[in-house]
Amino acid sequence: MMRTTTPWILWCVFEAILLLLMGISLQLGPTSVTGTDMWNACIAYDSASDSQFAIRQIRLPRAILAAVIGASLATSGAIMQGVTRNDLAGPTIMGLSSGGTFCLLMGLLLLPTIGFHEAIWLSFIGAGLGYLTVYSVAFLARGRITPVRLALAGTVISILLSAFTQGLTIYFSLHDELLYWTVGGIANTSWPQVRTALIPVLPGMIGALLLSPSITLLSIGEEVAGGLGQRTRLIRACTTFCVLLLTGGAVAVAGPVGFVGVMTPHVARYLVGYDYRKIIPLTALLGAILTVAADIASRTMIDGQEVPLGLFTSMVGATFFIALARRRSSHRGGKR
Amino acid sequence: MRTDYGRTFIALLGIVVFVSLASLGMGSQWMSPIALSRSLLGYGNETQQMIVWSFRMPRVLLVLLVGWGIAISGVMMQGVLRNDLAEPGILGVTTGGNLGITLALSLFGIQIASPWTLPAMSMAGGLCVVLAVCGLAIDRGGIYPARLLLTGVAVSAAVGAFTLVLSLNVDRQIYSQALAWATGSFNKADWNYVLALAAWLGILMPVVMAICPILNILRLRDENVISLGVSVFHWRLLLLVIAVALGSAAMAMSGGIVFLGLIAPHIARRLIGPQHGRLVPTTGLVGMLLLLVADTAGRTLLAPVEIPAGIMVGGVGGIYFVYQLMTTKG
Repeated sequence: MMRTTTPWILWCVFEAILLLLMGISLQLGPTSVTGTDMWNACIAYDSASDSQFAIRQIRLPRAILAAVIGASLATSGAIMQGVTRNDLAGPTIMGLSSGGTFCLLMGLLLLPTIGFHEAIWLSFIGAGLGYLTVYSVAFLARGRITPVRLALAGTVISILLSAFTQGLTIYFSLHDELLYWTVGGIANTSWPQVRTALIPVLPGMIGALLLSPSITLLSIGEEVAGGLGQRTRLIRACTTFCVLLLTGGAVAVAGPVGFVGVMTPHVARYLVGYDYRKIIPLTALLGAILTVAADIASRTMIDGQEVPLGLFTSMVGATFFIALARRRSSHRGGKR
Repeated sequence: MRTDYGRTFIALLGIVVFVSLASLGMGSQWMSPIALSRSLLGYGNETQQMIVWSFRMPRVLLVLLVGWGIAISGVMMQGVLRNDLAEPGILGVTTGGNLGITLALSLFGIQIASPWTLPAMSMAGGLCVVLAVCGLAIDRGGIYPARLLLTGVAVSAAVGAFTLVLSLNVDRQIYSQALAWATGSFNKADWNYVLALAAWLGILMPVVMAICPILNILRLRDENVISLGVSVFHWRLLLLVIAVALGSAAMAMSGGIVFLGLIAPHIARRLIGPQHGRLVPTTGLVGMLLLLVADTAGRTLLAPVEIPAGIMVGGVGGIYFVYQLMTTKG
């Protein structure tokens, strides 16, 4: 199934949807705000006004963070799917999210002196360890490694790491906020967290865009890419590094928000075909839309209760994932 | 290395009894074997009597029953689905059971929760989810083992998330209970749970033992089974339903315990081979032993903190699962 719509029309449509959703997200909360307030909060900020303060200091960072997380997880899913030619790959499935969560939590608990900014690198390392574990399992396995088997190994390692994370939370009898974070949530966001997330995510995004032509070639096949003079090993290493930056950054501020990265690249591919120069920006946009929407849902679903947004993305994403695993795609990432 | 079945069984039973006694003596208050045997016979001092009879004994018995149920559920699933990596935790019995319980509690309130009704709710939920998983994983080519498990994991993720959202909708008390269930801990064991689970297993086990010879046939290729004149599909469905019922009754008392139903059958097969008539009881004993060791370690190693048995088993079992996945073909 190939379809190529004019990308810029799509781009405008989704950009509008994202802005609309973020606008809705800014409206949500105990303090009611008007359009004028929103405009002033962005342009002529007056901290004395309650409604403007709520927008500028509480809701805006939250909306932006939701978008950043979605974009980074989705992009890292797109890169993984392209480079490994595995339709089922994604940061949740391949053990990156749970590895990052586990390491970050362990660092924060066992090294009390460590600051959050240093701890971010732990989530980066943890994501790397998760990735490495899953791939070494795949590498050492006997027989063919089908995408499904690899995904299975990944999910089991995720279950394992989550069990360890749970063990930590019980041992240190963590308070609700951290428990909330371990299922993927962004309550109580403020500007510092947005900055923290952007430190690894921005370079990761830029790297992904720069590497996108090579990812397209790799997604066609190793031989093709090699034959066209691509240095495949180097590119693999660089893309992996980008994936770790993106996932590590998202996990550090929001915990393991599940199944964003496996779903969005498929939608993007369906819309613009197989050119990763188009897929990556579109995937990022779609991911942002998905998480901002999930965040809105998580705040409006139950009165006075914050539901972790990871629960919503898992519900939607896992459903999509099941359909994917059922449909043995004939073009790529199918049985090989 | 296949040894004599009778001897293996007796030896395992002996080990289970020994570990149970050891577990009774271990905890916040350690007891010498002499003090323990005195308390067991009713000659100990007041405190020790109470600790043994009202706290540790029900807990140990509940762990044994749950381990038995989950392990046998696992061996049946592996037989029915002809898939050595199948097990109740991964196929969604756990999350299904949690969903059933949470749904019932949020609809009818906390007052309907009793040791007798919990397994029933858990069974209903577990059955729905496992059948959904199997239905989703089937297509014209039959069921690919890896795809079945992956579907199970994904459905579990979705159902688990839904259950959590649902539990937020009900009051805090129920929510904290739902969380306690989800990790597989035994710290609220009392005699009612033990009796209720013993009753459920008492109903199910004779049925299991009566039909497990069918499992030997079902492990053959379908063509051979059909030529023996057995209706494959109906038997598979029936056995699967019974396996889920066993697993979810056990998990209703303990919460999610993943990978126990995977390891126990494998160890038992190593010990006595593939004949289900012998394999089923042996697996049950191995499951008892594993879960008891996990629970005892979980409550004594890092005391006063208690690590739920489910996490202990999940850690070891997950590593074993990955090893199995690496060494099986296809």
